[in-house]
Amino acid sequence: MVRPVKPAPFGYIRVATAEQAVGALVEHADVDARVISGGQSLLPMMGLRLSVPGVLVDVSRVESLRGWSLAHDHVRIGAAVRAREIELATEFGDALPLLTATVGWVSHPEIRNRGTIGGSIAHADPAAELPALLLAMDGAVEVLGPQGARTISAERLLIGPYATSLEEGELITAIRLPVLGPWTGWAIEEVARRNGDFALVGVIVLVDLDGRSVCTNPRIVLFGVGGQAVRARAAEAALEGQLLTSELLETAAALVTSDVEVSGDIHGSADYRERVAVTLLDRALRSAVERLGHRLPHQEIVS
Amino acid sequence: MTLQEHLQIDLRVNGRDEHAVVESRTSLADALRHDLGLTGTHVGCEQGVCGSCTVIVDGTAVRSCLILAVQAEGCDVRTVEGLASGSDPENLHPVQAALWERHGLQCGFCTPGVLMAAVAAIDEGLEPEREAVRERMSGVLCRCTGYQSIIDAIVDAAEMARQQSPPKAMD
Repeated sequence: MVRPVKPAPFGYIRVATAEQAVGALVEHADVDARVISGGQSLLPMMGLRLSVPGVLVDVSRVESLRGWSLAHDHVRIGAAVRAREIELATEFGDALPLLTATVGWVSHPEIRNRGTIGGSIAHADPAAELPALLLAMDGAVEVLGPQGARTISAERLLIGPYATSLEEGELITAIRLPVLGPWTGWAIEEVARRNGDFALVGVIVLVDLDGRSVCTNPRIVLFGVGGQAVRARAAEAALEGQLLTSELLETAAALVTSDVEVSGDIHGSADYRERVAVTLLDRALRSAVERLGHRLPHQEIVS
Repeated sequence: MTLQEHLQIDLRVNGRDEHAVVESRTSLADALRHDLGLTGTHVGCEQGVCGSCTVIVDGTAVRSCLILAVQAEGCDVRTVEGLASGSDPENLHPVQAALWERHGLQCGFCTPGVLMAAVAAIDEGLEPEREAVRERMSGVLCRCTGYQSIIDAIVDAAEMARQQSPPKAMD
């Protein structure tokens, strides 16, 4: 008799190539075959029996999914690259420091030693940092499936809580992120009760400043407050084409939750999360423009 | 590429070749404890947040409750049992000795996790400074000590490790 604790029994397949993974996912689709990579998100859900795949296809040792490359305008990271590898890679610290900063927020070092960037994005936890980063940077994922290879933008990939637009038999093979130009300020801010917890509220900001201190191309993503990482479009619109002033940032920050239905739970009420979101966006915007050399009088928002 | 529910796996644990028969769903923590009799690794939350199950796999600290035993096939695993050299309790690993000196344990439940996380962190060059230790060790929860004595011990151990092999100068 199998007791109803720990993961339910499943068939295990370790594959050597991405093509084999697709084949296994298709062959066992009838029993809800799923990819396991780092397992740091999937195994807790399986232990709680929230996820009951009949087959696990282990891609963690597929060579083509590991490793990364840097081009002048983008980075390409294999889906099975561990978060900790990204965190410690000096080439990312130089070329894309927002990625390094974001990965450091993911749980604890022991989790980052196993969890992978592809797994985190495919899991699409609404309070996770890496899916939010993909959306904020307008990144994309490379996908392999029974119909072949395709690329999916972050916006079309992340469709709801723990939900992506991946079709049956598809797996993420790589993540693509643009390299930021020298005129792009960025910041990530997050509030959680304990170090390493899921975000109660998180925000990632990118904004360009031209020579006249006009803000362009703002991208603001909120995570932890709704069903998925979401663009704060009202706040972005308040910034677009506007001269950078302290008042402008306050105005934008106050609009941060206009595009999302903020829900609360035992870890934080909706009202708390809304207030924190305003403060975090204000901090993040100031931090982002300071990175470009602009100092603004700092005042905390009191609501 | 066969579908299996029961698997025979070979792995290296504390320097010894070990063989285990496990289900595919068996965690590394449970395989270590039940199949290999190494009960020093503890199971607390089984979700990766408490840190009691921390072991070192292929040189990095990981949660053994969030690794399937079959995923550790062919890997090099270090558990708390492998820290002291030999069976003589006098030959404690320096991190164990530091924890002992600073009374960094009471009930001992989190202690294997503390030790393995600390050993891995010190091997990676952990700075012997309270904030750095606090940050790095925040993944292991302790209900007894209030953490200060744990931090004291790891700062001591990190300092000793630095004295024995100073970090290379940056170019």
